[in-house]
Amino acid sequence: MGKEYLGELEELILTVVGILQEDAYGNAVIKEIKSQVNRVVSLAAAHVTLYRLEDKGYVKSRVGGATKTRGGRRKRIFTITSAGLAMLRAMKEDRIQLWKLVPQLKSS
Amino acid sequence: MKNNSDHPVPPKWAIRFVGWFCPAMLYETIEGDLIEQFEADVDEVGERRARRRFVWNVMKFFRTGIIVRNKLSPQLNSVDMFQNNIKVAWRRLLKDKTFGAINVLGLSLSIAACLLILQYAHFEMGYDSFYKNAKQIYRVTTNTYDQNELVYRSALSSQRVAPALKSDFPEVIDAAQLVPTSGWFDCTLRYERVIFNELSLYYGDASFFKVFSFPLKEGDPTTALQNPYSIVLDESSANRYFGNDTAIGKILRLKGSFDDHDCVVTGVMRDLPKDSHLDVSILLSLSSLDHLPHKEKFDSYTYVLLAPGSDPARLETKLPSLVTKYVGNSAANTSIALQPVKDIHFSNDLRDEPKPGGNESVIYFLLTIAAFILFIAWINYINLSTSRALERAKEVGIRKVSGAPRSQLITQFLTESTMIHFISIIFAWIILITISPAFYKMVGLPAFSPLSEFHLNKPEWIVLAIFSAGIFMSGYYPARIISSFNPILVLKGRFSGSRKGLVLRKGLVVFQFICAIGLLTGVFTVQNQFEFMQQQKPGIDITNTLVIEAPANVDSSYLTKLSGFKKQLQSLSLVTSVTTSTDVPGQRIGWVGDVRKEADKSVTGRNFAIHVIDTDFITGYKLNLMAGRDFQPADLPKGSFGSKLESVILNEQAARQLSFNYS
Repeated sequence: MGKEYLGELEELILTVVGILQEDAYGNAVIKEIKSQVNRVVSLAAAHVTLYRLEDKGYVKSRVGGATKTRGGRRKRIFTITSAGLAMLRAMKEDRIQLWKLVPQLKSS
Repeated sequence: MKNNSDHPVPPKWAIRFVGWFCPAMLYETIEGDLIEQFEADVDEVGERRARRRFVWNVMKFFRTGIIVRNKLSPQLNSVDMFQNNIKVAWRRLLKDKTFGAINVLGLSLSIAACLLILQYAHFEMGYDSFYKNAKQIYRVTTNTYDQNELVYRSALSSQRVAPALKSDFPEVIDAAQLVPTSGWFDCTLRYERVIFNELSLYYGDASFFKVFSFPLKEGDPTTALQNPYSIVLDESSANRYFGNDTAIGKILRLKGSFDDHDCVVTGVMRDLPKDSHLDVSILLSLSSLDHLPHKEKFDSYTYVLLAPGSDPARLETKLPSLVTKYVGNSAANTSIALQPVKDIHFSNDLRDEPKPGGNESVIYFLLTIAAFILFIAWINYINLSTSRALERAKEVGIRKVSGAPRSQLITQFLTESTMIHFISIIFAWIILITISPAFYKMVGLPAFSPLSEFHLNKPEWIVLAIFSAGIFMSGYYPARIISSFNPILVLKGRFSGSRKGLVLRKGLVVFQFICAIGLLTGVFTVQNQFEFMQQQKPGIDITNTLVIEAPANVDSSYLTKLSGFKKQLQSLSLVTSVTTSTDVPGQRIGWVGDVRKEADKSVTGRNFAIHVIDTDFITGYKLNLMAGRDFQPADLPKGSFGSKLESVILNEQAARQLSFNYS
């Protein structure tokens, strides 16, 4: 297999999972995205992306304890793996590398 | 809609819907997230809109990433393995190009040969199966007996059969007659200045279209052949006379030995497909024969369409009584039988067929050869792959040490062989498309594209099954051998190849060689036989001989015109001789008659073929006269045969049969 790449939404969600630490589940992730970057992501899209990240090995999931809210249903908590962190770091470095090459023109 | 006054709940049916499509593994947490979102929405935008949003959110979960996740996730790994297998197989192929080329070349050549034969067999075996009711169509054949001895089996039957069958037996839906004109009625059709000899002209009626479910392109099939001198042409004949003009209503002049009359075109039918035993291109209404006093003497091809589900064998038992009823005393000499229309092409025991038939045993023989070619290729592949097993031993050893189960290794090698097969099939297809036009020209068949004629019927499924099984088996056996290596022995370098399977391999090689040698011997034998046949001297000189068919309409000026034509030809410097004859050597002689010695009045005559020739025939074809002399101009008949004592020349066989002493 060649180098793995992350899509834009995958990267965003992976980062958010990294931010939320032990409290990353579907609703929390989209709420965080809404509040931080003011972007609306549907619950379903978030779930699908999280499962894809799990398949790729960048996050892992477990089912948390039951709470009284949300009809007593349990949450699926996602945590970022070291592979996920390494991926984010590599992507960030690539970006910075490239950004340095862009001529820094002053906006008029 | 508020059932719980203090506590708004999302629509129940939507939750049930999530439960229906969502994999069990994910269901609880997804439902929880959805409910949480709903509760947040209630606080934010109120219950009504929250419910709507809930449904919308549920719908968004209805996608493949969720629905099939549970089913696919265990296999995701094997998708990766599959991609890897293909990559490894491709690299193997490129690494050892000679080996890969031998494999692909061998397989693609044999698959191409096999497909070519299959295509031909498919065409031959599909004869007459395109009629809508092909299974219910039977042809009436006639057996003639002489003192209880079967002397003549004919594809023709009396014109009286069809009406009798239709009126006497309810299971006969319809009966069609086709009266052929070849042999007794040589005719031409003329439209303005366009004139052709018509050999595939038949007399028929509307039942023809019904029995064979043959639609007319133009004209009404029920009335087209009703009136005398109505004519239905096929498209290519219509094109010959009228080009692109409409044919309907045009007048054609029919001229022949028995008739000279205007005919009106009442219909145009599609050309009969090449895989039909019939060669009808022009149909004249049967009623056009009515004015002939001896019209019943002309036999016809009779076809019956039986009702679905009726038993042809039962109908056949009732046929003798039909013959007795209509023919009377002489019935003992004649019997009629039914023949399924699909069997006609391969039945070679009947005379008077409209077209020469095919040979079923040749087809099966070819199919056997095709199978052998394919088996040889597969065996070859097995042997090549197993013989290279040692090279793969290290790879297998490493893979096994890294934890590859045997099934995975087998899958890997199967992928490899399947890939080689697919590449070969693509090449075979290319070969097939390039050479099949030349091949069909060689065997005298119409060219057809392999794709358009291919329908997946039962025989095709069988072929596909054999093919797939062969691809699987030829890959599976080497895969088993290669994957059986003991990794420890291999990696220690103390591995010297497996002895098991050696006997089988040797056996396969021997079998392969036997097949190959057998096929080669067969080909050489056939070729030698062919050459031998072609080198035989036929006793007649036909080199640089050109045959010109005379116009079929004969009138009083015919002989004068003919001799004028002959003289003109003879004046050309490149023409050494010109001769006229009723038939051409190699053709079946049309005129047959009883001949006996004038002295032996008590003896019934024997059947002889009579060939009418002129004074230049024997010198022109360089025939040897054993005794007697060639015809002189004075020997030619005056006006018609029998007006004087005619001269004849007998061939050796005839002289012997009539017990003449000629030496």
